[in-house]
Amino acid sequence: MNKCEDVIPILEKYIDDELTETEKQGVEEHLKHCTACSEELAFANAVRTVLKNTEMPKVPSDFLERVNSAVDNTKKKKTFGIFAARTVSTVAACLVIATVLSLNNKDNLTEHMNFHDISAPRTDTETIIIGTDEAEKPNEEKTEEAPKNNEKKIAENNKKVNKTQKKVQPEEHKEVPIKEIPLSTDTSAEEASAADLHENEPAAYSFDAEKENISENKNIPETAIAATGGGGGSSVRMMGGQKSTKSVYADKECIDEIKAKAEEYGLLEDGIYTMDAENYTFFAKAAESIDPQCELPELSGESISFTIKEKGV
Amino acid sequence: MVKLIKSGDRQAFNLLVTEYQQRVINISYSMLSDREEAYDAAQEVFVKIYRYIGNFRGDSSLSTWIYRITKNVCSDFLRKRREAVISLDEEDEKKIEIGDTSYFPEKHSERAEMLRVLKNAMERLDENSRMVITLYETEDLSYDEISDILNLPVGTVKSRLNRAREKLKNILSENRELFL
Repeated sequence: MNKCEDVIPILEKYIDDELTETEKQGVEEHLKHCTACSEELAFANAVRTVLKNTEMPKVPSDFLERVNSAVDNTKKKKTFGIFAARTVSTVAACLVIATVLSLNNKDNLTEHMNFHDISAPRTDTETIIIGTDEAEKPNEEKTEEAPKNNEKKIAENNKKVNKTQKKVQPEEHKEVPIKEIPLSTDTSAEEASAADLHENEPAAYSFDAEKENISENKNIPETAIAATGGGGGSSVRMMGGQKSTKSVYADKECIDEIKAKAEEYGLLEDGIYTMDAENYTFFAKAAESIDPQCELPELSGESISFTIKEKGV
Repeated sequence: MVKLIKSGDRQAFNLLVTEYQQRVINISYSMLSDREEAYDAAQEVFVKIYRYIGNFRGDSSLSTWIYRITKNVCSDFLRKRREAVISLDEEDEKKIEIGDTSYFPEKHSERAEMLRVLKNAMERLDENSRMVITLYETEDLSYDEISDILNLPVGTVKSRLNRAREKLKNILSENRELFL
């Protein structure tokens, strides 16, 4: 090992003591006679020394206090989030029930309240009016007046309601996956996201599957469409507060390696990888070489955000 | 300690903060090259730890988990900074390039100059190189630990570290005489 070009590439390994005994002796022999390589070694050592001895900022005296108050603030926000989510979900549920009941008694409503034709497009405000006490009163009256054996009519009306609901605000309704309808007051988006976090991905949300449905307008059950009412779509957006995200689908065997590649080329936050177009091109090539069958979303724009999921899950 | 924190014991959490705060600040500072931003990032790291400790199962060591969160938070800060820089004018960009030199008490000494040059060189490195150098050189972590934190095979960690060192030396070669 007498040439500089042989010695220089392994100088770092020499410093780390990762060379074989023979290689080590070769380097030492060369260094005795080569000023340039000795200088290179001195430079590499000096850089390491400076790096190791870089002075770091001291911990501020109030750091612990700052952390604790930030934790408290987060808890307050979370509590408010849960409260807001529960309020929205309760209101949404009331609206749905009130709307369904009111529309079941369409004729009665029209008679008592001089309502608009329900097949005409309505605004959210109108839907809210349905959910008020005044809207429920005629419903109560109707219940008293209507014969109990009038089940056929009710069933027909229910069908009409479903169809009419779809006509009312088709775009909003399509966006609402059934799982996200916040009818239960026991969970919140925050809690769900926290529950899905694990140590390998310190910030992954179970919301992804639902977001996927939102972004791709996949088949949403009719029951979801009917159950959301006018305010359902917006309540989901308020709770999640997230944009729809694309997904890479890969084989179970390859998923960890692909995730590692994605971390290499992009940034991981909340289970979502974000990278610029150039890095995504590199990532896509790497992912395809790991799993030739993997499904990659198309790039549109200067950057892309996506989750990585197992195929068929 | 983890069990106690999971049960909401704030005192146990404070012990964890005290134990890890300097290391988290070190990494944040190495990655962000800005003292105040490093403090903010470190604060966010501990808030995340408190929030998500329930999901820590102990498959990896606690320190690895904390380093991983730190890495992700720093990446997020850098991303936000990149987005913000777009809106800065040239004057502001110059300020960022010069960096925070007020931190070093011996501003005019050779050592301070060496540190300033190194700091600027680190800033010019890409994020991955900076992270691997920080974990290995500054934090003195093993290849195995870095492999766990970065979720990369040990071989990749070694080659990435090697490439990062070469890049750093290339940048520093402009001021080579300072280090000899």
